[in-house]
Amino acid sequence: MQVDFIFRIAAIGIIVAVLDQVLSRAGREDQAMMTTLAGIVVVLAMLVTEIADLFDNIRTTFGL
Amino acid sequence: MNMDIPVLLSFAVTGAVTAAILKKYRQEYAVAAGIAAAAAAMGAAVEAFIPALTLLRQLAAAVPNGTEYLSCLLKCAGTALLSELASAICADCGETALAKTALTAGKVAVLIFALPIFTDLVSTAFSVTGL
Repeated sequence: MQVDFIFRIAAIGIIVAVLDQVLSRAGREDQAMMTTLAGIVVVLAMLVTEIADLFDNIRTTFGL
Repeated sequence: MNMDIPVLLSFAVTGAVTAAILKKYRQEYAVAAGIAAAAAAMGAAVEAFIPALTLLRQLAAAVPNGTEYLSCLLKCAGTALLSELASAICADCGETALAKTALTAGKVAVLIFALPIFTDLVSTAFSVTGL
């Protein structure tokens, strides 16, 4: 895991925040909510993969 | 992968600053950025520990039952690391009850992993005292 992973999450968060604002102001509240949810799902999927790798790494190193 | 301590610490600082910036816009992404930085720093620290682990294994092999005891100790240390990390992630998400439950589960697991050492200690004490 490199530091650009953190910046990718930040970029997704900012893009989702901007899209949420734009869609809300355009009166498309449901699409804004779906965009927010989609962003959260994408970030969680990225995070879960990396945390699973970390846990496997710790399990292998410490013999758990 | 060789990781310098300043680089490892920069992971933590970068994650903290990114989380602070994201908090204004989307709180959930701030939490995700914090978790990602913590996981990255922890992974780097664990990988940096591997050479020391090799040396510990060599030293333990020179002692009677050393490999077994070192295995118990490493399991305890790894469980403590995992439970601390899980507890911190839960606390960051605002779930204090889950954080404390993760810590308690870690303590129970450490106790179970340490039982063989206690058993050996008690049996050695009994054999020495002749009980």
